[in-house]
Amino acid sequence: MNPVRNTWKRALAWVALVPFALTTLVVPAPFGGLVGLGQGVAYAQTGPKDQLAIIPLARRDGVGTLATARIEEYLRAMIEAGNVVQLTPPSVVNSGRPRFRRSGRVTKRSSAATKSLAKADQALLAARTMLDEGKNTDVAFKLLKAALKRYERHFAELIDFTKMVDAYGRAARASLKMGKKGTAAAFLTKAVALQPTFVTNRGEDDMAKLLVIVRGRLEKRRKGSISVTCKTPGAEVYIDGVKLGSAPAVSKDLYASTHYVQVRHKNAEPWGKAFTVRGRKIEVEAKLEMLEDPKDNIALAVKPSDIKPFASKGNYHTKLVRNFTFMFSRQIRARFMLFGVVAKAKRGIELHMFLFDQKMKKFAALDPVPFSANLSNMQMKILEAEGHIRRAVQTFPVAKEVTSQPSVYTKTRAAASAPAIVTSPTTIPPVTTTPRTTPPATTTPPATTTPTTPPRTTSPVVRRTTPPATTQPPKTAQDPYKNLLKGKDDRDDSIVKKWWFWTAIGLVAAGGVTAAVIMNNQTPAPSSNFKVDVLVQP
Amino acid sequence: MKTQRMRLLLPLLMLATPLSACDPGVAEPVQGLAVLVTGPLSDSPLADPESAFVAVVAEAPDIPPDQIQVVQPLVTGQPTNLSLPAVPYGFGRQMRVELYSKDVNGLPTFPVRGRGRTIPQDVGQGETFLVSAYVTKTNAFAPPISEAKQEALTDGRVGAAVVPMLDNGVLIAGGADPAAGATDPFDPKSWTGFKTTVLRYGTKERQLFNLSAAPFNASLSVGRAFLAGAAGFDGTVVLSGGYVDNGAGPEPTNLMEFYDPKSNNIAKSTAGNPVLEFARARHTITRMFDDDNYFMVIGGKGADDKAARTWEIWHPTHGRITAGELSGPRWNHATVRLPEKDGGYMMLVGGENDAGPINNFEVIRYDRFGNVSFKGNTKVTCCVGATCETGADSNAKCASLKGQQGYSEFRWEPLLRELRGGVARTLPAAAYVHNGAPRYNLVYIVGGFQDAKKTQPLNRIDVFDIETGGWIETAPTLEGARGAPVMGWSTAGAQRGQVIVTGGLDASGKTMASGEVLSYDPVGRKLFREWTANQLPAGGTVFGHAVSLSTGKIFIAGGASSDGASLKANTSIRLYNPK
Repeated sequence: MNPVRNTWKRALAWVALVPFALTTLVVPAPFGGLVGLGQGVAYAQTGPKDQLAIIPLARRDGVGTLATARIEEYLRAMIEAGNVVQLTPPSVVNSGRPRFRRSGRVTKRSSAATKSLAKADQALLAARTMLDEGKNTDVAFKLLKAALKRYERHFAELIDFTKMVDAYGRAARASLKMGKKGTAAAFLTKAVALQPTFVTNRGEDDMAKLLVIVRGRLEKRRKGSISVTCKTPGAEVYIDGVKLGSAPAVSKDLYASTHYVQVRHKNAEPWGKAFTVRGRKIEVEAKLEMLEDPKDNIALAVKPSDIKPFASKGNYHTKLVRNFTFMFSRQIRARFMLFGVVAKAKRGIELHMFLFDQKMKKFAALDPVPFSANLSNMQMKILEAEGHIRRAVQTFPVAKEVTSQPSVYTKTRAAASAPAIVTSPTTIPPVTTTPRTTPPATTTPPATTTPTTPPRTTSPVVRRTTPPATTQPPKTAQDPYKNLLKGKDDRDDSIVKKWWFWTAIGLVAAGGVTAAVIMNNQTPAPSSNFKVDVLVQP
Repeated sequence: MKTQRMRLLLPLLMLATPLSACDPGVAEPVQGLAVLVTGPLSDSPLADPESAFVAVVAEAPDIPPDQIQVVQPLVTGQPTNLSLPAVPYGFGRQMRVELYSKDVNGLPTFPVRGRGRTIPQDVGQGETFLVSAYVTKTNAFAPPISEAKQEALTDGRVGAAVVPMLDNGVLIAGGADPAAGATDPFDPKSWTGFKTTVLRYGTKERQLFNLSAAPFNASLSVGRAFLAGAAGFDGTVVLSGGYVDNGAGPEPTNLMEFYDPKSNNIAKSTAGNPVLEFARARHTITRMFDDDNYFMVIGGKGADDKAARTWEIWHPTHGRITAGELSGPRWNHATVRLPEKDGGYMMLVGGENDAGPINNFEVIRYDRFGNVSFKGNTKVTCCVGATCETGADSNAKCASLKGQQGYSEFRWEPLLRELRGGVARTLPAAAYVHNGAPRYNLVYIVGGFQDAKKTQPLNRIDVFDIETGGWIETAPTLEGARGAPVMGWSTAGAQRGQVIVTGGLDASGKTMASGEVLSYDPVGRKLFREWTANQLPAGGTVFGHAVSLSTGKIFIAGGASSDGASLKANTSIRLYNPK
């Protein structure tokens, strides 16, 4: 027995065993408890997960926008890390349009093909090394055959066909060395058919002789052609790895052998088909499987701006809100939708969450999560909130279905009307380039890259003084979509004909003038920003 | 109709115009922070002629990175004034000061030559604070120099507890001096003069304060060394076990004391069981929850192997609560806490027992609400306030108490798994490193010894990815094999997650002064290693400590230096500034 051959056999056996061993090691993970800690287990999720869309949290009772934004941000991060549901990106919620989805089957095939081709490359490389060293011709031949099998099977993904030609050529050389002239001729035929300019290396006289014979045989046979059509605009046609251009395309004078047609499109999985051309004229139509689903380009039935106010109104018990939410969730393909409101509690603030399940077509009120006023316990509390969501997503809490307006929305609104004390992060003025990603852009000393837009001038004090009590609009209905059901005639009833309109105008005018006089005599409103003075002491 | 409406609206618009003109506007921002930027006395990047620009960037949890900044040319040797006119009020405001060199076009360019940060400061309406930023060279060690231009030095103590405090300080408690002629740092008899004094390093002031002197008089009741310390969620620092010297040489103790931040004093628990069940040294103590002061004391060397094969839960108010068994005895190990909802995991890495170094890590999974599976110990321990149920009938009692205010329940599930490559290691350095990004939840295990005699240091860097439950296969090795190295990681800014490995003993028994920096690319799942720009003073350290500061730097202090023939206590402190 050849010891080297045995070694290679063992190596090949290992190559085959490793994926199996990995699978068996990974799946029943002896350390299952720790695997996926915090972030969940990626491989445990076999099918696509349900999507959860978070509607921007509302706030009540003067809770700051900053606190609300922080809670929402951390909640998002925690749900994402929890890995139980897939979080719908905010861009989808804000646009109301679903993401383009890839077909799972197609993606899987691509990934397997890519891996297979990589293995083929490795095998080819190993075989080349062995043949160059003049050792283990039989093992190299087997490796080449394995590589060719992979190339032929996954040719649709293959970009560089010279690898396949190279493999055929080397397989032919190895066959000749082993005394298998017929096999060598077969491989050489395939190589020349794919690449008519195929040549042998210098000094390989027997190969050169065989090549002449093979080429002569091919020339004697009738040549064929392949014409490719494709209805998808922008699709590009390749035959034997050679780009012919956009479809339709024709390749003529093809040697009688196997030829490979590929059609590629930037938004489609590569399409491929192999044909054995024997003096025939082959016509083929490529049908591309687009990654973008045209069904996604739907017209918006429900706008995000229709949905977002629900979080601050809380009419989850009404049929209208349920219907709108149902339509929107279908539209963005999120099974679950989470609405929430941050309100003041006896101690600190509380996050109230309401989960909508598209399948149940119901809202459930999750347990409120209390936070300390300064959010010092946020990390733990966000975990708690994520736990509530996780449980509700796994088993929808039917017992907690919202049947009336939640109490958090029916509380007194005196405090809610007060302006936020904490400044919103959105009021931060935009500033120029960052030193983290690009070096600072200041060029002319001592000019500074200070904010270009002034801070927001709206201040709580100003807001509090402007609307006189009598200008309060009539109390709106609880249901934000009640007005949508009204007919056109209702709106045509002009308000200028109402007596109260002119009373209000008069009061606004009087109040406005008074306010203007008072404000002129007032000291300027305090800023929401502070200044930082820096002294660099060498 | 439309025209008629417009005609009616016009007077309204005309009225609104003068109203808007009457808006008094917004005042200039009130001064909120005055930042003094200084550098070290020598090798200061501020005095480096290559530093051509200075940038000040506002950082806070609610401010997007690098959004509010100012950049200005820096004239070396002259004071420079900068101003950020509009930073929103809020909590945790930090100013990052960075120095840049000039490129061929005269523009600021990378790399960052120097960096410093102020400590986090809550700034409210009308408040003004004076803060300082200490700018040192990046990827380098620098001494802490106070504004009085004095370098902070310790009195030299080996085996002290060095623990971060809530007020941006570092507590240094206990420790010992090398015995005359001692050469073996791992022999307890090599240490003498066990200390009772407690020091506090102030990150803001960059100097040491003696908490054992007036007006605080905070001292340990007994001189201790090689004690283990851990910080509570509210600023309490618990100091457990270690060696004491009762006249007959060092022996392990079961003493538990804690630093009370309210009184600035060292106190003992007033509970019925105030101390540990087993005396132990070379053990670890780790806080269990983010919002409570339950601590888990694990393994360690005791009078017999009872300490080594057990863990205990201790609370400053409730004292000793319960004890449980490990899968086997273990000391000189590293413990890493991996937090989880309502509980977490204690990952016990390596260590040794009588048979030699251990080639596995044990994970104790615990949960407050009993959400662990019952593969392991099914015994339930619970506490309601100060009353804990730990007896044989605790399962039934806890079931009846569940739901009461202040109820806490513990269950645990031990798990064992082999270290990467099956390599046994004792005295490794280990840490849970995360930077908030997905795919960046790692446990670094670095260095250590592969033999019980501690003559064969390891150069291994093993990184366990918590998200996949597997090892990172592309990890490089340390350039120098290090036994008992010091490891720390940066927890602030874009440098969060950078790991520094320094000190430790080489194969000849000498301490190492060089440092190596590890950084991780979560996208490529690759680990990178490079040298630090300079080295630790006095020939390096063994048994040193590294603590992450809120300024993004890493505080490295304590331990001893060894030239292979003698041990010398390390008095210097170094701040490592990440790259």
